[in-house]
Amino acid sequence: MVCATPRIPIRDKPWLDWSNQNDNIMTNSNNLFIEVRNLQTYFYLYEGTVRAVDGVSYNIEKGKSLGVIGESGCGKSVTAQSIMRIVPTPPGKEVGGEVLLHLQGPNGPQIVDVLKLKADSEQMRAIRWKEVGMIFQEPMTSFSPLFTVGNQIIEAILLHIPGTTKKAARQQAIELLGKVGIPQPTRLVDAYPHQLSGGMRQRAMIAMALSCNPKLLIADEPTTALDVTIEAQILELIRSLQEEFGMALMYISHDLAVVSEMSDDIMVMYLGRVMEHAPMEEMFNNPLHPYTQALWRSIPKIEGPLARLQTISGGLPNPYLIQKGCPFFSRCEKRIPGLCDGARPPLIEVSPSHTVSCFLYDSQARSKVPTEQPNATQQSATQQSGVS
Amino acid sequence: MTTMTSPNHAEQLSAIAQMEPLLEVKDLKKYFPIQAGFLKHTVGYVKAVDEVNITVQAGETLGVVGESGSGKTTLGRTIIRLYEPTGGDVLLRDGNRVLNVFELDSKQMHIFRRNAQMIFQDPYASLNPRMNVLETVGEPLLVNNIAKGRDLEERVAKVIQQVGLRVEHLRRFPHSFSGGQRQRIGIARALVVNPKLVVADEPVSALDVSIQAQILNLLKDLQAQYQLTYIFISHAMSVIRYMSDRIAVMYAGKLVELGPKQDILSHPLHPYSEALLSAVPKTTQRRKRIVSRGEVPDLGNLPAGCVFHPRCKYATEQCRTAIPHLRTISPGRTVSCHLADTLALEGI
Repeated sequence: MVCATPRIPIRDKPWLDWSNQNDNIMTNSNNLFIEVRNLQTYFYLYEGTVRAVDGVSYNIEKGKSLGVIGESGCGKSVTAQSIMRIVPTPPGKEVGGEVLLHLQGPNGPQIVDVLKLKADSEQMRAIRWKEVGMIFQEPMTSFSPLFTVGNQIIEAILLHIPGTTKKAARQQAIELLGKVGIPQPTRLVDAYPHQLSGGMRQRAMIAMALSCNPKLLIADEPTTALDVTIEAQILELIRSLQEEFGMALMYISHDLAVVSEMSDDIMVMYLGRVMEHAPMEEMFNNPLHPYTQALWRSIPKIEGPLARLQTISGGLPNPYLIQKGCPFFSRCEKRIPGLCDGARPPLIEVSPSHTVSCFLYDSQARSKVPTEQPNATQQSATQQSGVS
Repeated sequence: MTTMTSPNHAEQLSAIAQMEPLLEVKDLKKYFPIQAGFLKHTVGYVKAVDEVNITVQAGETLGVVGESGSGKTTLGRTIIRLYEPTGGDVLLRDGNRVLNVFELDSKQMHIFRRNAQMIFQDPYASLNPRMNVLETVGEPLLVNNIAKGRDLEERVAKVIQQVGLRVEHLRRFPHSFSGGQRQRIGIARALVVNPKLVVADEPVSALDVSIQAQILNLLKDLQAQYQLTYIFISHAMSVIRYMSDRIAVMYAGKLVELGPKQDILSHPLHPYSEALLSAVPKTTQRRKRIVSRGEVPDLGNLPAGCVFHPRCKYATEQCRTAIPHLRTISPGRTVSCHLADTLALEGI
C-alpha cells in the first residue's frame, strides 16, 4: 500500500542538504519521471487566439525539483494545468506536443502520453492525485466550501486507492493533516475550509495533494497569498515532505528568491516560451538570456549592495499578436534587428545542463546578419534608456 | 536629501534627526468595534493600531513593514485621516505652524490635504472607471480649491508627464491602461497638489516584477526632485530595504521596532524582526531559517503580555504577563521587548 509509508515527525527533520542528495541520484534517463516535448496550449477567445504555452519542453527526474519563473501571463500555470489536463476546455486546448509520464504499470514500467488521454477518462483520473498531485495558489477557492476538509481528502483517497474502507481513509486523512502541521487533526478534520486560516488551508491543500502519495507534486504559487513567516513555514514543509516521499517537484512562482530556495533546476518563461533553463546556481550566477539578466537586475534584493534598480522598459506585448521572432524583442537591450524579429530563436545548448533561447549565442545565425553587431546593440540600448 | 549608498548616511540621518520633524504621531490608536447580536452592541475591539509613536523627518522615507493584520495599512490611513482615530495625535508641520490633524475642521482639512496625500495599493480598484485621467488627477485640485479650468488642465498635464505618461492620455479612461500605467495615474493624483508627505500603501504589490522596478524608481526620482517625505508601507522586506531610510516593524497593531534601515537589517533588536528577516527567501544561499511557529494572533483577542510571546522562542515568564513598552536602546533605535538588552539577534 503506497500510503502506508512509515511516518516520521516533520519537526524532527534535520536540514535537508540538497547537494548531497543530488550526488546520490545519478543523472540518467531511467530516472526520468516526466518529459514534456514541444507542448502547445492555446486559448481560442473571442478577441483572438492566445498562445499561452507555445512550444515548451522540459524534463523532471524522480525526486528532483524544477522551478518555473515568469511574470503573469507567461504560461507557467497553464503548463502545469496541461500536465493535469485541467485546462478549461473550451476555450483552452492542448493543440500539440507530448507530455510523457514514466509510470510503473502492473506489467513493469510504461510511458503514457497524457495528452492522448481524454481529460475526463478513467485513466486520466488514475493519474491525477495518484501520480501527479497539485497545490493551487488560492487555497480558499480550491476547496469546496460545502464540505469539510476531511471529507474532501477522504473522497480523494477513496476514489484513487481502491479497496480502502471509509474508516481507514478517515484515519489516513487525520494522519496526513497531522503530518502537515495542523494542530488537533482529529478535531480539524471536521472543519470547513472557511474555519481555517490561510496558512492552515494551504496545509490542508498540501495534505490533500499528498493523500495518494504522488510521484510528482506541482505547486502553483502555493505561498503567494500568504504572509512571509507563514510562507517560510509552508516552504519548509513542502521541502521536507518532498525529501520524505521522494517526490519530484515542479514549483511555479513569480518570486525568484522562493523558486531558488525550492529548486534544483530553474526554467524562465516569457510569453508562453522557455527563455532559459539551467541549474539553480548557474542561473543566478551566470544568466545568459537578456530577459533573465534584465529580470535579475530589476528586482530589489534583500542582501548585497544596494544599487539603483535597472528597469525593463515597456510592458508585455499584446498576447493576441503572434510573435514571428523572439517575444522579448521589443524590450530587449541586446536585440539584433533583422535577426531577432524575423525568426524564432532556437534553444541553444550552452552546456549540457544550460539551454538558452537567444540568437546571441547562435554564432551561425549571427554571422549571416550583415549589420555591425556592437553598433546595433549600442543604438538599441540608448533608445531603450530614453524611454521610461 | 539622503542618498541610499553614501557612507556618511548615518551622519546625514543624525543631522536630519536634529531638525524639527515633519510629522509626529503620538500614541495613535485605532480600534474597530466588534459588534454582535441583533442590536449590534459592541462586544469588543479589534486593536488595529495601538499606541504607535513615530516621528518622520522631512525628506526621509520611513518604511513600515509587517504581515497582513499587523495594522500597517490602518496606520497609514489613520495618519492621513481616512479613518477617524480612537485616540492620540498626529501633528504635521506646515511652514511655521503645526497642524493638529485630528482637530481640523472641514475647511482646515483642505490645508492638510494639500500637504499629505496617499497612493493606494490596488491600481485596479483605486481609480474610478467612469472618470478619465484629467478628471481623476484634477479632482484633488478642484476639491481643495487650488486650481480650475485651464490652469487645472495645465497642472495635470505637467504632472502626468512627470510620472511618465503622455498628454494624449488625458482623455482616456482607466480601462485602457495597464497596471503599471494605472499606478502612475495614482501617483500623479497624489502629487498634483504638491504635497510634502505621501503615504504609499503597498504601491507595487499588485504589479508584475518587471513593472515594480519602474514604479519604485519613479517614486525615488520624484522624491529627489520634490523633496518628498514618504511613509512607505509594504510587506516585502526587499522593497522596504530599497526604498527606506528608516524602518518601522509592526506586529499585531503594535510598533515593535523602529530604527535606521541598516541597523535593523543587520542587527535587529526584536525577535519578531529577526524572524521576519529570516523568513525572507534569499537567492544567494540556502541556510537554516528561524521558522516562527504559529500565526498572527486574533486582533480582537490578543494574548496577555507581549503580543509576540506565543511565537517567540526567547519568551520568558515576564513576556507572558507584562506588556513591553517602546523604549530607546540607542539614539534613534526604539524597541518594545523586555529582553532587547540581553538578546543577540541575527540579521541579514
